[in-house]
Amino acid sequence: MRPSHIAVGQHLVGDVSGLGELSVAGTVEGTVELDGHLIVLPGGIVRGPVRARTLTLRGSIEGNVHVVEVAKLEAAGKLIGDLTAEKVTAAMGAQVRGRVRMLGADKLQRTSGGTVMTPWSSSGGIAAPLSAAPAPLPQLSAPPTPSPNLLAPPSRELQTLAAPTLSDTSVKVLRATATERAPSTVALAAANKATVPSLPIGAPTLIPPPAVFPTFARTSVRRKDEKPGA
Amino acid sequence: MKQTERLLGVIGAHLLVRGTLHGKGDLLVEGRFEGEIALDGAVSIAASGAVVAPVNAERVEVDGEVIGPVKARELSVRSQGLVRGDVQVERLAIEDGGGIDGALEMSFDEVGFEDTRPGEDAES
Repeated sequence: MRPSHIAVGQHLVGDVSGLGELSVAGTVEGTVELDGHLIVLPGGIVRGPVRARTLTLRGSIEGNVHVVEVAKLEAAGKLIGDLTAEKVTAAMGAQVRGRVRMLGADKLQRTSGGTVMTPWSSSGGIAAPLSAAPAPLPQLSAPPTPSPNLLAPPSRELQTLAAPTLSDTSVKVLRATATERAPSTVALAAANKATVPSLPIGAPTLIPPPAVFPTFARTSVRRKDEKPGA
Repeated sequence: MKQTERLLGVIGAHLLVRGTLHGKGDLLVEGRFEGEIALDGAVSIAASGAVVAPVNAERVEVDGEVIGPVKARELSVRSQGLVRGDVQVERLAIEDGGGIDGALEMSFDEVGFEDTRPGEDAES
C-alpha cells in the first residue's frame, strides 16, 4: 500500500482518517486519526488533535497528540500541546510545550534506585548522606626520628679515655666501645619512642633517615708504637 | 525525478480525507477524498480512488470515480474511469470504457469555425 503524503506547498483543511502511513510536508489543519505511522517532516505543520499508532515528529504539531505506541520527537520537532503515548523518545533539540505522559513509565525496570554504596560505610546499603564528613583516617604512627643519642658521641667510657696507653687495657676498652657504639635495634626503637616528640599529621617536613656520623671513637686497632692523636 | 516526487501528494488506498486541499504540485488519490481540490498540477484518481469534490487543476486523469464539477485544462478519462458532473476543460480524452455524465464545456479557439469574414466571433 502506497504511503500517503501531503507535499510541500499543499494545504489540507479538513480531517484525515484511515490506515497506513501519512507523511506531512505541507500543512494539515484538522483532525488526524491514523491507525498507522504519522511522520511530520521538517517544515510540515499539523494543527489539530492527532491520534496515531506511531509518530515521528520532525516538524510542528499544534494540538493534543495521542500515540498508541511510540512517539519519537526528533531534533527539529516542535509540539505545542499535550502528548500521551506508551513510549516517548526525544532527541536533544526537540521542543515541547505541554504535558507529556508516558503510559509505559510504570513498567520500566529500575534496579536499587536511590541507594548509594560507599566503600567506608560500616554497613552496606544506604550510606551516610554525602554532606557528612568522611570517617577520620586512622592515626599514623609517628615517623621515626634520629635519636639525639645517635648523633652525640657514644659512651662515656670512651670520652674519659683521653690518652690510651699501649697496654692491653686500651684494646680492651676499644672493644667494649665498639659494642657500645652499635646498640641493638630493639634498644634503639625503645629509645626512639621515649624521646621522639609526636609530630602532627601532615607535617610537611621530611624526616631524614637516622644518620651515622663519624665519631671521635677509635674504630680500628692501632699499632702499638703509634702515638695517639689529640 | 526527485522534484516530481517532492511535489506529489498522495491519498493512500485506505485513507479518507474530508476537507479542502489546495496548493501546488500533483495529487494521486487512491483512497477517498470528499471536499474540494484546487491544485496547480496534475490530479490523478487511481482505479481504487473516489473523489466527491469539485476538482480544479491543470490536468486531471481519471481511472476511478469523480463526482463533482471538474475544471481543468486537460481531462483524460481512462477505461475504468467515471466522471459525474459538469466538466469545463480545454482538452478532453475519453478512452473506450470510460464514462462521462454531465455538461461539457470546452473553451477553445474556434479555428475552423470561422469564416473568412474578418473581426467576427461565431458565438451562439
